[in-house]
Amino acid sequence: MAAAIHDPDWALGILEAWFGTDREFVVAADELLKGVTERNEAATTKVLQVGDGPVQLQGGVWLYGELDDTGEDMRDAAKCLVDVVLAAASRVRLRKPALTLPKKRGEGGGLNSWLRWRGICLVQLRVMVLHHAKDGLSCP
Amino acid sequence: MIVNAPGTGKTTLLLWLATALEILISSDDTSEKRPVLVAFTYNTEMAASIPHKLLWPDADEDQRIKRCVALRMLYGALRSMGCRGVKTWPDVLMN
Repeated sequence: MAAAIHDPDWALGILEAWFGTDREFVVAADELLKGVTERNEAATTKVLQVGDGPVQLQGGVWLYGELDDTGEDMRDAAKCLVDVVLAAASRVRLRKPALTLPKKRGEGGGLNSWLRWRGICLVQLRVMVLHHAKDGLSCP
Repeated sequence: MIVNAPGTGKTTLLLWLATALEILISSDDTSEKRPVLVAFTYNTEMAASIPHKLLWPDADEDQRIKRCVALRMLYGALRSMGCRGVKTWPDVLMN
């Protein structure tokens, strides 16, 4: 399977073929900082090169998905990884951006924030809710 | 507790809410089909890194980036949608 993978657009096309193009998509991104800090993958490698050099892990806060106590470089790297995902899902129409990158602990996260964002984002997970509506095939 | 503790179901909650929110905010009230949920994650279940240079030796860096993202999106969607017969992440990377 992995060897046959093309690109994100192709992957979405496959999903459309399997599930039907009349469905909407929700792309939920989670644990992105692990992708930034732990995984030696091409995408990760690229975002780690943001700025003047590789981003250094600053503490273990990222284990819980917190960006609050990490440095600017880490936040930038995470944002760049988000950009990679967004670019990958370029055919997905962003209806309501829902990525939380709180600057201070408790700010921008949690259920209250989720309510404030009218149900879009939650509990300091790195979440993106994107979707698109397409015409086309019916779903089995 | 959900926010700060490991293993308390943050990802599960995320996936559940992602589906629920889609229904809540959807302007298409006539659609009864649940959305295709694409989980893009580096969670424990998908902890193994993608051996991108081994899998795609002839691809350039940009192509490998796209394929890494595509593979995680595709696999994450299959698992999120509850498809049967989906191999484990390590098995997928080996075949």
